[in-house]
Amino acid sequence: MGIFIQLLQETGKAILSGNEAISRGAIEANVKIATSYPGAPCTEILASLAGTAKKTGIYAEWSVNEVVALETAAGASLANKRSLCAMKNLGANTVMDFLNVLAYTGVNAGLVLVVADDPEPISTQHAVDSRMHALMAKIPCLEPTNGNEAREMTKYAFELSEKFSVPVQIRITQKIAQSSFVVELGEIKKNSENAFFKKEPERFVCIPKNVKVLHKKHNEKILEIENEFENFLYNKIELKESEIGIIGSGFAFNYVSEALERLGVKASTLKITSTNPIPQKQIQEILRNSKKVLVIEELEPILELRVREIASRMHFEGEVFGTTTKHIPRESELSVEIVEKAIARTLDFNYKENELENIPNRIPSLCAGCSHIGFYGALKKSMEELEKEFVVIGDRGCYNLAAHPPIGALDTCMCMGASIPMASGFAKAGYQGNIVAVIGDSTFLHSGIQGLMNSVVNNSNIIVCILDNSVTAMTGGQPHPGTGKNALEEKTHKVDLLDLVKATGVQFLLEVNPYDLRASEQALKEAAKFSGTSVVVFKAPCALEAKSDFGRRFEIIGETGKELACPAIKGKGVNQHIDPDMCIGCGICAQIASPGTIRERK
Amino acid sequence: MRDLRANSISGNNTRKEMIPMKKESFNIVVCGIGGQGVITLGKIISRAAMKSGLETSMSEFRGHAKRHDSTHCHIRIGKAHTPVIPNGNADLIIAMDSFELLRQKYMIGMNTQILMDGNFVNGNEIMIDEENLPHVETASKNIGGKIIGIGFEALAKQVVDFQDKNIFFLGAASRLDEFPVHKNIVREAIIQVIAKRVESSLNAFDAGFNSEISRLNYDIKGQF
Repeated sequence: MGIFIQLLQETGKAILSGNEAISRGAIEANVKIATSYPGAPCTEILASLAGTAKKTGIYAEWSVNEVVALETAAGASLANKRSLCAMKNLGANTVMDFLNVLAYTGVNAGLVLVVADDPEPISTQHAVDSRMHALMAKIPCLEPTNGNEAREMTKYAFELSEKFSVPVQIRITQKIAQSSFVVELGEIKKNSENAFFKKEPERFVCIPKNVKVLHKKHNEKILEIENEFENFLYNKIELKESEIGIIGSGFAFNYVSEALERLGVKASTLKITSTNPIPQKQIQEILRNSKKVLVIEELEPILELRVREIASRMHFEGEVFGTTTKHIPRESELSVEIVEKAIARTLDFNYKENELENIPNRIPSLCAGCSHIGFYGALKKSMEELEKEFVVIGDRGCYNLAAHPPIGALDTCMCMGASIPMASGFAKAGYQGNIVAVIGDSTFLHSGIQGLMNSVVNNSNIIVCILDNSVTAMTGGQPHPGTGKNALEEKTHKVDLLDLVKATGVQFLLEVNPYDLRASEQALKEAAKFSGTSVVVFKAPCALEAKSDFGRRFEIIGETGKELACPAIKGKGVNQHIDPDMCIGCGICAQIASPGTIRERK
Repeated sequence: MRDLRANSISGNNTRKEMIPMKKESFNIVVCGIGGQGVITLGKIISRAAMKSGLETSMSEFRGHAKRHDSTHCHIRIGKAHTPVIPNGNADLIIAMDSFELLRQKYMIGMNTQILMDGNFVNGNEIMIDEENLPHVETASKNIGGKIIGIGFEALAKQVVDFQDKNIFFLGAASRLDEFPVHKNIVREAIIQVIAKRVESSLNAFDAGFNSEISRLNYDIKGQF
């Protein structure tokens, strides 16, 4: 529990991240079931709920993927227990099928779906705006602007969810998820009702005859919620005698407050934390009170387009500015400076910007002694020796850090589970080289297995490399069904990866130790010879999570002739040396370097 | 036509300029790389500020944790609307890696004090031209602000565990007149945030606090 101890403080103030504030809100709201699949920037929500579960009695699980997480949470809600499901925006893409139906059927006990966006993006493959998910599912979307609101609005979201029998989305961004705030704590409710379920097939069995009715009801519900949000406590309107009115959505509104103060500009403002449905009357008021209206939001012009629609319906004679007028960029996070510039521009002022120097970025590296370094060493060598062109179709996980130099081995890296099917597509297209799919164990269990079944059944001639370190390493070592423990640190049954792969009917399957480069190269060469789908499992624990140490150290005694990927190896060319504090003695470098140039220290 | 330079070219100089003013919060930037305890330091400082009854917030800019990516955090103490410090508004920068300080150059304003380590981590992944590094002698001219060099390697390696380098820096920062939180409260916050290694952390804090910063600056010159 350690690091999450503040979460259980009875009352008073605590410093909580936006993520933790949401967890605290859920605990105060008597949530019973929490599910998630790890992913920055909101991994901490389930981590903190699981870390405090022994005291709160909450059931918290790292589900096998986001779809399973939401479906589990929904089952709990139907059985009358409040449930929370957290995921990053990418996960939200995958759950839309289920979420759309759940919006129609509605929920029983409150169900809150937290989706964390990464507008910059800092750790995500795309910067999708998850407010669009709420629009698509036609469910309420709340956007807290600080820690206190995150806590309070989470509690409110459960009430809202029950009042209208609808799943409620809370959208946060990296800046609120991973910022810390002083949060006023509220009372922790501790009542427990038994699970029960009233059979209502006309509601929960979504066959066309029922859906027709449910669809209409759902649309009516949304109008009712619109009324609820007209006087929403956390939307805030301030009218000033000023030609400019500013409307801001969620966290971005903070920049507006700060910018106005720093610039000394007077403006009417509307802070919107209910992004869907929006408070139409308050927007009308801002429009009536201003000649120029500036809409501030991160990513897509969702709010701006709604404001324009309202403006045109009321024949607004002034001007609306925002993302579509390029006052606000459509990509990356906003900042106080960007908002200040937009305000200045709207008011026809100049804004002096400092030019920023371009400092070379650091490149994140695989860890010292990571088994993936061994795998890529063997992959490059074996493929080069086969003297045939080859393509490496990557997936999501630590192993995509191999995209960076000096390994530079990846040809594609798209989304969770895309590696095997894409490789299969290469094969079916008739690509003549060796086709290698690289996927980690957690990703394989998340959404890789379907691709493998498909590839085996359709006899695609590809080499599937599963890098099995028995943990979800990229996000901080969360367990998955192959780990042998759960989020609550309880020992569990372990899904046997080899058995699972065998069950697909694959005809070529080998398991090797990636620290043994010769064996790994041999396995890859054999796999390449095999006609059809071959699978090689590279099994070794995550060096970071297992704190691996092979009990020996290596030193460089000659020109290695290679750029070595291990961060324990410093310097280049003749200056190459091994940092003994970082070296874990795995010996991968000695197997990759020219023979006799790296040896074990005596 | 929107920015100042473009205006002067087009000859349109009538347009007035808006210049943002600095507001009351005390703003701290901590920078370094993943694994150096940058975020932990931010957590301790914000916890200490809260314990002192001050408003505070902190934002994290994490790269790949523990994988040697750039990492920094902003801590704002006092009234502020966002946890993100506007450019040029840092009052104090704690740079545990001198190269990472370069990346924070735009945070430096007229009165920024900088505690800087002369060392930097230079992995295979990034080869830094050493000429361009902020050496203490040249940094004040090139970067601005008031730079106080802290040579952790030279000063503290003997008495402080390498893992506690961040806390050593915090000790040195707590000694500055402008630092808004009292030393004793910072020590209490350390005990709360760092559950393990309390003793060695406090040892590092005291070592940092008791090091003569001005003397350090002088002594350390040769070390960079």
